[in-house]
This record gives sequence, C-alpha cells and structure tokens, in this order.
Amino acid sequence: MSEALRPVFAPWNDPDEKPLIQFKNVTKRFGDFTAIDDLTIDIFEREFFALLGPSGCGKTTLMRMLAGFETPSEGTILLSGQDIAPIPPNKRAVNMMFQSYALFPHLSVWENIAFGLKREGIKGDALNGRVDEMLRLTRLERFEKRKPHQISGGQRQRVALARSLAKAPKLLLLDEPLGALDKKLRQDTQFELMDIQEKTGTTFVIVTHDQEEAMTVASRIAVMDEGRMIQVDTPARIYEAPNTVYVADFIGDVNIIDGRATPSGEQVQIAWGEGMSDITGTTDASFEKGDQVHLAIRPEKVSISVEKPDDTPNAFQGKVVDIAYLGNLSTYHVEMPNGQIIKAQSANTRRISRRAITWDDTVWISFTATAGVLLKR
Amino acid sequence: MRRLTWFNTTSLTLGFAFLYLPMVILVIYSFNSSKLVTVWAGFSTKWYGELMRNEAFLDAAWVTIKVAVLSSTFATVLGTLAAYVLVRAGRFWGRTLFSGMIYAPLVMPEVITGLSLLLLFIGIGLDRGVMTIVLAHTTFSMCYVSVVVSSRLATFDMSLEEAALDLGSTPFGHFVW
Amino acid sequence: MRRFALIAIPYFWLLALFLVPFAIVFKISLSDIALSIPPYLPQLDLAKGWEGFTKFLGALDFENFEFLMMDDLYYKAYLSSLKIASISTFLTLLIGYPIAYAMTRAGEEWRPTLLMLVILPFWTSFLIRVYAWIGILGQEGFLNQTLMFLGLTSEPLIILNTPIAVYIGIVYTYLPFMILPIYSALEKLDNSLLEAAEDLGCSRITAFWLVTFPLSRGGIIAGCFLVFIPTLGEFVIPSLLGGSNTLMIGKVLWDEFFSNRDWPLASAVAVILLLILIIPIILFQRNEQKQRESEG
Repeated sequence: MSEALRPVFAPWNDPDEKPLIQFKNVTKRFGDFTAIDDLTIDIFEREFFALLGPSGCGKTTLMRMLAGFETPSEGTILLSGQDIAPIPPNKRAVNMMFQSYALFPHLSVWENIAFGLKREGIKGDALNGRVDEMLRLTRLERFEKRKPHQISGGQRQRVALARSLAKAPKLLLLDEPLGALDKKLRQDTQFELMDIQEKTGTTFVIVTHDQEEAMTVASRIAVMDEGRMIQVDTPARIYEAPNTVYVADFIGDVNIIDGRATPSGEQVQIAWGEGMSDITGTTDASFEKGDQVHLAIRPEKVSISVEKPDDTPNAFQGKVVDIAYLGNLSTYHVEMPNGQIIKAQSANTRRISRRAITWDDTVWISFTATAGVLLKR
Repeated sequence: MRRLTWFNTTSLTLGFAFLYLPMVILVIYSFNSSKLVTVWAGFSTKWYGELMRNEAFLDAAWVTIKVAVLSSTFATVLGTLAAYVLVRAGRFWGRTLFSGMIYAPLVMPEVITGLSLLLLFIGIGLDRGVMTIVLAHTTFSMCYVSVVVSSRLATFDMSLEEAALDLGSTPFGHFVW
Repeated sequence: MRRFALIAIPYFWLLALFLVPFAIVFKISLSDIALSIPPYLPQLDLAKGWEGFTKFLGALDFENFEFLMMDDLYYKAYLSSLKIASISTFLTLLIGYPIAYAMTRAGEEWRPTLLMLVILPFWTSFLIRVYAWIGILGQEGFLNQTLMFLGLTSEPLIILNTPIAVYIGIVYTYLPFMILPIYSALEKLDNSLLEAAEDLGCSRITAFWLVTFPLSRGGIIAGCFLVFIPTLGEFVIPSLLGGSNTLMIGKVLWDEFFSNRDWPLASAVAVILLLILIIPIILFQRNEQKQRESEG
C-alpha cells in the first residue's frame, strides 16, 4: 500500500469529528499554587494522547481530574459531551492504571482483574469469559492464581493494565506506567501497549516524563510546563517543528543559536556573533529587522567535515572540544569563534581507528537553510 | 488530601473523651474539699497538703521511684540486648524458645507472672523487698523494650553500621555510638 | 565467644525468671497443702540425696487437678472468664477500630499528638484509673449524677458491681492495646489502593470493606490477642468493679492463694489457665512474626 493511500489517523484535523474529551478553560488551584492554568484542549477517540513535561508541570493533576480524584477550580471538563465534574470516580467510564500499579495484595491476579467487573454485578460465565479474555490479551494465563508479591514487576504491570481494561472503559489513563521497568522491557512493553490500544480501540491518555516513550507511543503529544500546554502536535511535528525553545529543548537534543534577524526576501539572515558570517534560514513566521530570534537545529542535521564544504549556505569553522561516542553515533562538540558550542552528530560509518576527526581538530560544521527552525521565543 | 468525615471526628472526640474523662474527673475531685468521693463541697488543696505530711505515702513514693529507676534501667539494657539478638544473631540453638519467651510476657495475665515469681522467690528463699520487685518488673518490662527496639532495629540502615566499621570503630564501639 | 555471651545474658535471665517459675508452679500444683512455711508438702531437700528425691516424687499427685474437675466453681469460673474475655475483646474492637481509623485519616500534623494521647494512659497508674471508675459508676457516682441532672433518668442506674462495670473497666484499660496495632497496620496502607478501588467502581464504604478492612487484618488479630489473653486472667478489674456477682478465674486464683492459703490448689488453677492460654499465645506470636516478615 503506498503512502498516499494509507489512511492517516488524524481526527484533530477533521472538522466533523467530535472529541471524546473537552477541557474548556480549566484551572486548578491548590491554595496559592496554580497547577493547571486556563487549559483548553480536545482529545479524540482512539487517540494515544501523551502528556509530557517535567515534574510539577501539572500533567498528573490533569489526569486525576479526568479520573475524578480532583475537581477543577474553574472551567468544565466534558466527556462525550457531558460535564463529568459531578460524577464521582466510581461512576465514570474512565479507568486508571496507577504508577505504583496499586494491585490489591490480598487478592490473586484473577481476582484483581475481576474486581471492577464484580462491582458492576457481572457474574458467572460472563465474568469468567471477560477475565479470561483479559488474561489472554496480556499473556498472563499462567499466573491467574498467584498473588501480586509472587510475580515480577513486568507481570504486575500487565495485571494492572488488564485490570484497568477489563471494564472496557471509553478512556484509559496511564500514570507513568513504564517507569519501573528496565529499558529493554520498557521498549517491548511500549509496542505492546500500542498494539492493545489499537486492538481494543480505547482512547489512551498517558502521563510520562520520558520523551522517547512519548515519541514512540503517542498519536499526539502535549508538551506541558507550569500548568499550560505549550505545544500539542504529532511526534513528528513536535520534533521537526517545535513552536518554542522550551519544546525544542525538551525533546531530543538541539542546538539553540540566538541572534538578530534581518529578513531578505524569502530567507532570514541571522547575525549571531562578532566576526562570523550570518546564518541563512527559512521560516513560515515573519520577522522584522532587528528582531531577537532563536534558531533551533538538531545535531543530526549539522554535518561535520575536515574540509570546507561547498554550496552549503551555512558553513563555519571551529575546534572539536569533546566527542560523545554512543556506539552507533558520535556527537561532536565543536567550539565556535564566539565561544558557543555546536553539537554535530554523525553515524559512525567507519570503525574507530579509521575515523578522520578527533579531539582538538579544526573542522567545518555546516547545515542547509531549511535545516533549522526559527523561533521567536 | 485526607478529609475527616463527621464519623471520624466523632470517633476521635468520643474515643479520647472516654480515655481521659476518668483521669480528668479524678484530678478535679482531688481538689474537692469534701471527703466524700461524689459530693462536691468546694475547691481545696488540703488533700495535697495532707499527702505531703503523710509518712507512709512518702515512703511508698520513694520506694516506687527507686523501683522504677532500677527496673527501667535494667529492662532497657536487657531488652536492647535481647532485641539485638533477635534481629542480628541469626540462627542459634533454642531460638524459637527465646523468641517465645520475649513475646509471651506481653500477653501473660499478671496473676500468673506474679504468682510464679512469688513462688520462685519463696522457693529459693529470697526475702521479698525492693529487690524482688525490681527483678519482677525488669523481667516483663524487658520484653516491651525488646519488641519496640527490635522493630526499629529491623529497619535500621545497615550501611550506617558498615560505614562506622569501615572508619575504624570496633563492633561494640559502633553499637554504642 | 562474645556472641555467646550476648545471647546468653538475656536468654538465661528469661529462663530463670520466666520459665523456671512455671516449672515451680507446676510442681507445687502437684503438692498438698500443709501447715508449714511454706505451706505445702513435700519440699525438696537436696541434703537428703537421691532417696530424698524419690520420696519427694512419690509424694506428688494430681489430687488438686481432680478436685478442680469435680468442683463446680472452677469450671464455671473458667467459662465465665472466657465469656467475659470474648465479649470484652469484641467491644474493644468495635470501639477501638474507628478510633484507629480516624487517627489515620487525620492530617499529618496531628499524628504525633494523637499517638501520644493514646500512649499516655500507659504512663499512668492502672490501679488508680480503675478506682476512678468506682467513683463514676457508683449509685451516687458521677455518671448517675450527670444523668439525673440532665433529666435522662429518674432513678440511679445500678452499674457498679455488675458485669457491665467489668466490661467498661476492661474496655477502658485495654483500649490502647487494641488501637495501636490497628493504627500501625492501617498506617501502612497505600492510599492509591483505595483510589484504585474507587476507580474500579467501589463506593467509599465498599472500598473500606473490600480493601482497607482485609488489609488491616494483621493489626486486628494482634489487637484482639493483646486484649483477650490478659483479660482471661484479669482479677483487679473484676474485684474492684465486678463485686461478688462476677466470676472470673483470676479472682478465684487470688482468693485460693491469699484467703484460703491453699497454694497447691491455686497453683493448679494457674496451670490450667496457662494450658488454656498456650494456644492463643502461640497464635499471637505467629501473627507477630508474620507481621514482622511482611514489613521487612
């Protein structure tokens, strides 16, 4: 199937699509502290929506408001068009997977999963069938009689997931679900989560501080800071087209170059240091002459070479002060004449002894006019 | 954020009122100028005065203080030792019995401990006096000490001890400090 | 060597002052009452050598135990004690659990104060606090005066010297013993478990019964043993508050020993009481061990 024919999942772009969750000017205060500040966002069905940000940015508070453990100080939250503020957590079609898993230690795996179903009055064959289905979905059939302390961390995580999916909620909230797992297990589980989400068609909202995780699983990421959503976009756009220095810096590695703009035709000239030629960049935004501008450019888009490259608009000479060797890549820290360090990344296509560039070498770094993003703030 | 329901607040208030009311009443009535327990006849501190002049009371108070100081000291030492043994000594012959002897006095009815110790003292010909009271109190008090200390000891950060040892203190020295 | 000394000191102390006395009680329970000092025969005289020892053993018998089985009083007293201890334990649980639960729901700043308030009664004289109840529960006592003053009753209630007074006294005395283990078990409860229960569809009350209560079971069991076992042998409270109507085995033992001066019979009563208590004590210790292990 060619790219053009494969349907792209983007309900946020569809004007006919009605959102599952709507936050309308929601503010949440704890005493003097404002955790969520006038937040408005729509989340659509079948999305895997990630709330990403540092500790204290409000992502967990947002999720707890969806679950019903906190109520907004101002504003409304709608679930399928209904105001959910008066509905207590035990009556919402929302389930949560806790960071600590919160498995009931006195109940077996089977009973943990059946817990929510029993509260609805489901009994007998219907109950058994559903629990078995969940056990199969999370590959836990062998452990159904065990208690939480008798299984491993990864298995407990799956029990927590099965338990929260058992009632087939419209919305599933995941609070840093993979934090306690080691890296390899985390990666495997990320794909499992995406699989399960697609299979069950549930809307997932995940809270995480791990940007790699957000980039991997999410259909859209909301980068948050101090109670606000700074940017809400697909992972690709967040990475390639951040709207602020904050977002650019938060996701992945980035070079931020500050300078003064001088628009020239379609392009913008950026003066960024004494005695250094201007950087040429392109942008969709409009800048006035003399505007403060930030150029965000990813290290992998900065080439490094021993000789000066021709026909690249931006080429600057500098000295290698540090090399971070990561096995598959190397990141070179190159010091510019004005003292700023630019990071250039390249794949290690040659074995270590044969590499041309090493510490203290004089090198040329270069990038195209479209390689970076020009940001106002 | 924990919220106290009306049920919880009532439980707390009534519960502590129940626990403390008798003591409060006792204190109030100790200022009762009437000798009768139940009739209030005016505020007076005369009973305290009489207490100070009553030889028998004062002697008894002095003995009580002596017993308390001695038995609590011995109990703390022995109890801490016992706690250390329980938590750190690992396996040894008769460990179950030892552990049983630490927990049993906590629940043993006082008649039985009293009776058995009395018969012991008579049997070995020890005259009853301050010493025998101290011995008896020490014995069951050390169990309380042991239970409290061992629970703390169990959660003690071993690395602190290891750091001390690493810096040169002897095993006993580091225990003290 | 040092390790041996460390273990030996508390070990031998407890052996000598806890275990050995029980052996002596048992021996005396097998003896006969006599007009001597001490008032029992036979007495072990090591000077008489092996022959003396065998004669000593020969003079021991189970007469006292036979008497206990036959006489109504003792059998009734044991049963009555079991009944009173069971009911008191249940009442203490009923009153103590809500208090312990409320303590865990209070704000963090309150905890140390509340804990102190629970522990403080331990530091006062148990005897004097029980005496206070005499003044409160009597016919002209504080309680009746208040009730009549408020107009709730027209005649004084007779509480003192009835089993009710004993229940009040026992619950009063042993309440902290019930509150502390339950509080400690509840405190360890992870709040997110309750949120998870609510999230999955429980109301507050259902969440309590399905999650909080079962998980506090260890504390409940510890608390119940801490009340039941000593209460079985209680004699101060029934003596002071219960009058002659309330029959408890502790009181019987006391009377046998001091009023009748029948040491061997009293010892036999004590031995039977101990036998009744062995199983609860072992269960108590097992529960404590389980609690310790789950903590570590």
